[in-house]
Amino acid sequence: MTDRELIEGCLKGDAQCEQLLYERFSPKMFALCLRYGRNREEAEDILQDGFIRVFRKLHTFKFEGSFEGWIRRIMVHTALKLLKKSSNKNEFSNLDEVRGEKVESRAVTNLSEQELMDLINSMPEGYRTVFNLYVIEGYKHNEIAELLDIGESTSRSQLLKARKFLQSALKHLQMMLI
Amino acid sequence: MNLDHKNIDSLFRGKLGAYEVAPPPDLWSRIASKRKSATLKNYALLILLLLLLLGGLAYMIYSNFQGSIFQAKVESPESPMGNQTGLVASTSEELLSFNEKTFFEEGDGNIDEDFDLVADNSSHSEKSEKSRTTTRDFSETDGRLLQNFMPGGKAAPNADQTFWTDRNRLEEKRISGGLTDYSRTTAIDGFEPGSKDPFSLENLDGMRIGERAGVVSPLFSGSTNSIERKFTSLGLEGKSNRSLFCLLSRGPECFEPRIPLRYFAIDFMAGPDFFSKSLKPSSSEGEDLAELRRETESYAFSYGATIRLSAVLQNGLALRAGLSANQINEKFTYVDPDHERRRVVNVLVDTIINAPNDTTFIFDTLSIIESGERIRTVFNRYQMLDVPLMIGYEHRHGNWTFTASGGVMFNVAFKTRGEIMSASGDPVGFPDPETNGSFFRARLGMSLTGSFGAAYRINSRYSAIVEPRFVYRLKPLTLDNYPVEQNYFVFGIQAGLRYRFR
Repeated sequence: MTDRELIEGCLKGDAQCEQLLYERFSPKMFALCLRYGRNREEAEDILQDGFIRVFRKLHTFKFEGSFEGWIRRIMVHTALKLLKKSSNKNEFSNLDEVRGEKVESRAVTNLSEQELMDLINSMPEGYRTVFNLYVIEGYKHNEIAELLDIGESTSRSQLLKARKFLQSALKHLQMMLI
Repeated sequence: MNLDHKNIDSLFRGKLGAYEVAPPPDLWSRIASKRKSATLKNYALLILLLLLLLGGLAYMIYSNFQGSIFQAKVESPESPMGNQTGLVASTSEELLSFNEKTFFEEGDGNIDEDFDLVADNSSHSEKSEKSRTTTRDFSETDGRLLQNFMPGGKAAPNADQTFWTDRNRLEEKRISGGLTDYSRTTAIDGFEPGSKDPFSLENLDGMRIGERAGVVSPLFSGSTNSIERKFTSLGLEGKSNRSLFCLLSRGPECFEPRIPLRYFAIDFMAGPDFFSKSLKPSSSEGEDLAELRRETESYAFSYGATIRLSAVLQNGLALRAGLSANQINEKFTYVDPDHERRRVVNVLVDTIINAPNDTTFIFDTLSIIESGERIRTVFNRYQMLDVPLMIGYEHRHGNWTFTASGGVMFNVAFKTRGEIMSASGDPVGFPDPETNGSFFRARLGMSLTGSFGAAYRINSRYSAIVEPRFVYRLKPLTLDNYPVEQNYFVFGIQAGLRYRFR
């Protein structure tokens, strides 16, 4: 069944199509939620609320562009909303001890997805959110600034620090692997 | 690998962009149940909002006409008798007073069957022959005609310039000629409103323009057993008088009613329904299935219940909204000619006597296959909950009210349970116990509905109501990808009670 048929079925209230849609996209979306949530329970909450929003707003999908991209955007917005609700202030850290160094290593390319996920989740929330939005989701700094209600410069600096954090962590990991 | 920014980005983007992690297996059921409860909550809120809106509208209309007791001042207390004084009920915003020719005249038409009006400068009284009271002559007190009339029926001799009336009994009626016939009456404590009262609304309703337009109001009541009234002409005997009159004075005939509500009521009804079912194939593959289903499904019974709020305007127009529940029951009979049943029995194959009182029995199992015809009967249920929004007309004739209404219904819930034949020729249950999937829609959308009814007034508040009705669903009950379109034309009779708020 194509995405279009699935969407049309869901719009007609077909429970089977709704379940199919969930089964088709939930693994990717759960991976996304795990990158944004502080723990697994929070990621499950994001996925649950996100899919409820997907079904509620499905009639607004215009069949222009990727349906997966559309769902992904909803999930990201849901995650940010939930994170905002659960923390009084965004945790945009300033880790001065992070040093950016060029590291030569072949081992890092062999890191599994789960290990990379763990690396992302080990970052402070501010770094993690900006890194996820910019690097993996492909948002621009002005869009991130609007989404997170921060300045563009903050977004840039958080990304820089996130990269340095990861660079340092990868270096450490590479040392261990050697 | 050079761990610069670009490489870090591409490493994470490449590996995590399409990364998949299986969510917990129970998450879908959590989402489904949360969505269901959210939908029900939304519909409950919608219905509540609708009822609040209707209630608010009814309250606004009601408060325009009902209100508490209000005052109208008498302008000419010094010489109140004869032809100087007029009494008029005012609106809630303003206190109206006017001088108008007052006279007493003999009734005709609908009113004089019940009473006589006697003109007399020294003693003003109206005898209500049908009423159970004695008539008491009006006598002046301190040269004043009118005394305070309190709802309790007690006169306050010193407060003689005010007159209390009750707007509960205010009624106006628009007539085709463009004039408004205002007939007003007042309630008197202890005098039971109803058909015995010649001044009651029911009697005054029959008044025709140009004949008896005026104000009927109690002048004085000394006790709960007495009733005295005065009829004040408002000069509405001709069309030409009205415009001239309205230029010079703000009489009640110049007052245009804002929202002319006759009454507000709630109906409780229930009754059996009958239906005509259609199974129409939507594709060539559906033809055999439709035929198979027609053979295996038969009518059982159906019933419905309705709770409905009605706002009925003076011109007979009725606006209705409420909730309507309906259940269709059908019988599904499936005959399996080659049904096989397997059962296992224990068979004693040997007995070994080892010693006295020591016997060993050896059993074996035997599988028996029985074949034959099996008849399977299942009652299928289709439950629907709708919000009807209707517009209608009500015509009163004595104690009877005849109604005709039409409108739309919005389905808020649709549940199904049972078995039907599948295209493969085997029975299949719905909803599927494993996937919860179904051939039927989650909601049925909009339907057309109409009804004709008759209500008989039991007392001033309650009426017995009987209402034949029909419902036609614009969408079939089945999903678009199902090869057969299943739909119903429901017609039934509901009976119940109507409670009038005013």
